[in-house]
Amino acid sequence: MSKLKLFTYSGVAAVMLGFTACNDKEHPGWEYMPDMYRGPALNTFQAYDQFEDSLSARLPVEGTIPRGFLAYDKLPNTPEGYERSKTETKMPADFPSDSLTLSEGGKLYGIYCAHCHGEKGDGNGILVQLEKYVGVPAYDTREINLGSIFHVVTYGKGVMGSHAAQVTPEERWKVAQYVMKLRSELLGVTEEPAEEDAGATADAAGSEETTETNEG
Amino acid sequence: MKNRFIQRYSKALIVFLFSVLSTLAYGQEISGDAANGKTLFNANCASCHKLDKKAIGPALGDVTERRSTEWLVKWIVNNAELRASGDEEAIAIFEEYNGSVMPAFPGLSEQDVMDILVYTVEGQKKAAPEEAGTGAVAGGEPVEPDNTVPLLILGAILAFLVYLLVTVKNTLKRVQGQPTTSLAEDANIITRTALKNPKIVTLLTILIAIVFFQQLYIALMSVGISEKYQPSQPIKFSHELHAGQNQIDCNYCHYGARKGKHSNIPSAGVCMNCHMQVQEGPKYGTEEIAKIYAAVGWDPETYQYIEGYEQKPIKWIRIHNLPDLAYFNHSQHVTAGQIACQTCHGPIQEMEEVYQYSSLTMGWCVNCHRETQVQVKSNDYYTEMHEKLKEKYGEDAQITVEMIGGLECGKCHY
Repeated sequence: MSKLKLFTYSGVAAVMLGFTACNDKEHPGWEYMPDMYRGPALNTFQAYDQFEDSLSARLPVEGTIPRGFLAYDKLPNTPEGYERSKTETKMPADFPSDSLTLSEGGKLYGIYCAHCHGEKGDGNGILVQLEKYVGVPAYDTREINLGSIFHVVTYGKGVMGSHAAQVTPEERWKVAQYVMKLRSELLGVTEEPAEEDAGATADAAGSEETTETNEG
Repeated sequence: MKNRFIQRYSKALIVFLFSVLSTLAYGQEISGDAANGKTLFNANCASCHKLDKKAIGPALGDVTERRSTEWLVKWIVNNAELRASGDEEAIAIFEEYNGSVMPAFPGLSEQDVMDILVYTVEGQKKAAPEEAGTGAVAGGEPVEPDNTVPLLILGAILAFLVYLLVTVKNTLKRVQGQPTTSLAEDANIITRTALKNPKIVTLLTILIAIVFFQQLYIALMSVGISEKYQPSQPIKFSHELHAGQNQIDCNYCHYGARKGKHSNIPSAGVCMNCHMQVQEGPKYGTEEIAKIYAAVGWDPETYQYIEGYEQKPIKWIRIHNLPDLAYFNHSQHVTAGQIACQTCHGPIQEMEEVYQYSSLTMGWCVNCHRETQVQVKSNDYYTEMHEKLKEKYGEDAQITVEMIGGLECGKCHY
């Protein structure tokens, strides 16, 4: 009798231990009805063994264009491509350049650019101040325009990587407009950079090409 | 005699002059302000050059030993001109780097260039002992206090004491002529007497029942809740460093949160935006960053992607995982609702390792929808709706998520 009781008690103790052992931070815990919680449909980024590389997120067929995609001329990611972007990459004529667009550009700038390029575009963002990342030029020291900014955001340049995955073409034009605003502020020009200004800068860059071929 | 002395003396002088001149030609005689050089280097050169390693351009730590100062000044101020003049060294280096163009720096004065060159020498000197220092620190990683050995020793001492007492008892019994009992027999006798006592049995049963039901309650209540879930990830990525110290916006990496249902795990390409350049972390050195390189096939030595490399996915472990029966959309909360990430994810910028901060239960969702006021001001998304709500609830009413339908079943379950 007493032996039986001993067995029951130790059994209870084992079950209790089993419950407490679940409080492991490596384990997400139990679910009441996993079948109901986890449907057969794949979640984002979920691995899927049916494909050889186990990636459930498949690439679209080559040449696929998403709906509403803002097309842009793809220049090669080379120094020549960068030079050509200054004259050849043009913002769509009907792209808005009002204050709302600028403020949206400013928000995007704060997310994607400011930690290196600085709030004012002086190349003195928090990462540069901490000396974790160096070699960020101020916008007013380089001959840039909307087209070249678009090109650089798309492909990166020098120590800057490509931001094409993070910033859509529309967003790139917004950011480019905001960067031009920061640049003109740094240069001490008060008027807002309208498209004519950008064109003029591009022309200037073109005409100066003989002397500044290596700006890049 | 005197003549010979002069001859010898002049010979020595010539040799001395030659040696001085040759060292001069290789830039030993550069003076300048290293601090100014550092500023100029970081602003103008560091985007392509490092001191100790090849980057887009060659390493510059020992450049003054490789080239003459005169040549360097010409090259830095306008390298195209130097190449056009037919300088062989210049053309050779241009071709070695596959014709990548270094910009001209007409804005730099000769003294500026000198300052930069002084910095390349000084900076390299400084970097060497620093590296040794950080290596030592990395070796002395904080180790969690391990109690196993002292506990084992304590256990051994206790076992020894028990053994000692049993021996003493048995020796005493033997002296008195009584039969001796082993440890197991003693334990059996004690439990048997205790279990025959109804008071003790009742007390024990009650105690065990209380503990059992309390544990059962806790266990059952935590089913379906993964609060504090903190799995080890394949790369020891620190949010404390990236989002905390470096103040990189959450949306920089999780760029999907603004636009879509899912807040994405950044692709390794986003890591490479910075880690092409940053090849060493403050805590784990190159070890963890090398895992990104292994995934994407980047060679930090040649500063290039390896051609034909079979890229491997980094298998991050998902922490926040709502049941499929509940719909949640990030952009709805981040962009339209303008809720800070930390509201649900907790102090991410302080987490070395991310854990699930909120319970993510329905009660938690509903409670927040009851309490949170809709940010209607300076939020274009709600301009039109705000007018209608003002008509319905009055001019000064505080509009909560509940009032705009945030508690309707179909909003999340359909």
